Amino acid sequence: MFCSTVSQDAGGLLCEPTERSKTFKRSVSEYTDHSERFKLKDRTFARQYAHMYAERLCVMRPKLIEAAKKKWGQNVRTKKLFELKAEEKVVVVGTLFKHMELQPSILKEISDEHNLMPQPERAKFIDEADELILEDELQRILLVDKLDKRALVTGVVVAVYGMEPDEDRGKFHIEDYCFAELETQVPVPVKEKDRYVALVSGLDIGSKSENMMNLQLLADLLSGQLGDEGQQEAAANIVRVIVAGNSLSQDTRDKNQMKQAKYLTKKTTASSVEAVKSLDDILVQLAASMEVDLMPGEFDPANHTLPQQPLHRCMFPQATMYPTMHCVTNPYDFSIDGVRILGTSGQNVQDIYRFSCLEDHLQMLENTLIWGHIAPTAPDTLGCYPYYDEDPFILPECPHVYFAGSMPSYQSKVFRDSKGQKVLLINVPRFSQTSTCVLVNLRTLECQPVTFDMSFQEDSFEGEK
Amino acid sequence: MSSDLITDHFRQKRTTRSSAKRTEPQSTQQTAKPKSVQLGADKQSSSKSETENDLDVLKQFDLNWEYGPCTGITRLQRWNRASKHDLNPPVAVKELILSHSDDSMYTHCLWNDYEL
Repeated sequence: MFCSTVSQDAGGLLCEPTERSKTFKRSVSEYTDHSERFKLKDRTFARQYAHMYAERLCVMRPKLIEAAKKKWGQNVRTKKLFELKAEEKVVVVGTLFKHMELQPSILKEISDEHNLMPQPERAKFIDEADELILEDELQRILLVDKLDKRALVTGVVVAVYGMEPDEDRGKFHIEDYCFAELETQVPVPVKEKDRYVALVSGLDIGSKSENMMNLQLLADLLSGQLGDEGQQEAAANIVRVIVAGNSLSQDTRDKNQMKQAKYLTKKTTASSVEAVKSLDDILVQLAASMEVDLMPGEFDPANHTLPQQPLHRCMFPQATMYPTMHCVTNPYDFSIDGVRILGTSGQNVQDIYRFSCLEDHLQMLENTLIWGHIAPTAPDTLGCYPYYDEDPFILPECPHVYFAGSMPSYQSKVFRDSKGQKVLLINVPRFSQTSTCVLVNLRTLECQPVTFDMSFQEDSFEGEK
Repeated sequence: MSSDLITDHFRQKRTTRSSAKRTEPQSTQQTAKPKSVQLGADKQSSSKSETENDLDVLKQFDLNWEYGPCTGITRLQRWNRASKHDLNPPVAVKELILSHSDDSMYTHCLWNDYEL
């Protein structure tokens, strides 16, 4: 798809040297940044997280009541928990709290009475005995029936239809439930030419498994130095590249070194310094010829809590000489040529993986879209800044493309909601393990993976698929 | 200390800082009979009640659950957040806060003195 539209009679690689070689101009696209809400203005951490939950409920409540009325009729009654009467069928809107026994708790860790062994490292913290509790502004109630507690996580705002039976006070028996509907999408303007956005993630520079050769191939492809004239012409249609997190590897975060006293580490340099220099070398090649957006990830030298602030430009002295180099926040929200793209570096999906039974990462990404919230587990199990007057993770507008970086494998799907709106969901795989990047066609809103393979096989030489 | 009755100390209001300032002139009168202290308290109660009323209004604003949690943010921030969500917080509260913008009794919430 990417190269096939180019004319076949373009000069192949095996031809006589010519005096003048063809040059192609890279297409330019209109870009608007919508990530202002993720940039932190003040940094007061002396606040509790109750404000964030109150904000989330307050903003999502009208949306949920509207969705509830659409689903169960205009006459359905919405009540708050303190107004509930027994045996009365009503709709209640609230935030879910999943009570998990195995959830790591600092209180249990330091509690002397329990004499507990430290919990073994787990991939998932779910258990059969988990319970779902609905909380609104004043009260909470246990939820029974219908809701699949294994697939849901804390922090999702939901509207439930059911009743509290007289013989079982304190529990709410659900008959049906619904989530907020996605906002109306702004229609994409029709385009004539193909334009592509490249998504790559998990470069993992600085680890033993880093793949600099494939990374160099990627940089060459994107800057138009790879392939024959046909391929170069096709590469000129790639307007932007987004590096979606984890550009540095986990190995650069050496725990032993970080905990050591400063006087012992005076002569040693952190392994992340070398890694950042290598990253700068790659980025300068990309920035010299196209727009680059660099998002921070879990192991990058940025703040740990979401939303992660842009990496500092002093780390990339060569790349930031070009105005095309942009360091952006995680999550990242922008629109290019009228296509609204929203994405994260994958921490939200990873956290949902830890606290739900779901295995399919694309399903989890789809769920965050259905729930209307990018990272519902923040601030419970995912570190988050204590906002008090806004929750920036609530989806403000339905995006056209929604991606998550650092995923184990490439996956993509077109999600259709109840209004028939389409959203392209993309799981961008880790480049260090799969050597795959993703190209999104802005005209047709389809995507394709591009894999770089350096293995020499006997039957065919696979330089690029 | 030992000659004073505990009721002399007890009559002082513990919560408001402004009344703590007023108890200083009161304590100089403590050597006199307890009745004169009571008279003095009565004379100041009329001017005290206005401030008390104001602070009571602000306290009720803090405790009102409709406007969300009140700890950790200033009353003005909470008022602005409530008006952003169309909850119509009373304008009188905002005027009170702005007119005493240098007094932390007015600007900060009820539990301001307590740590996180």
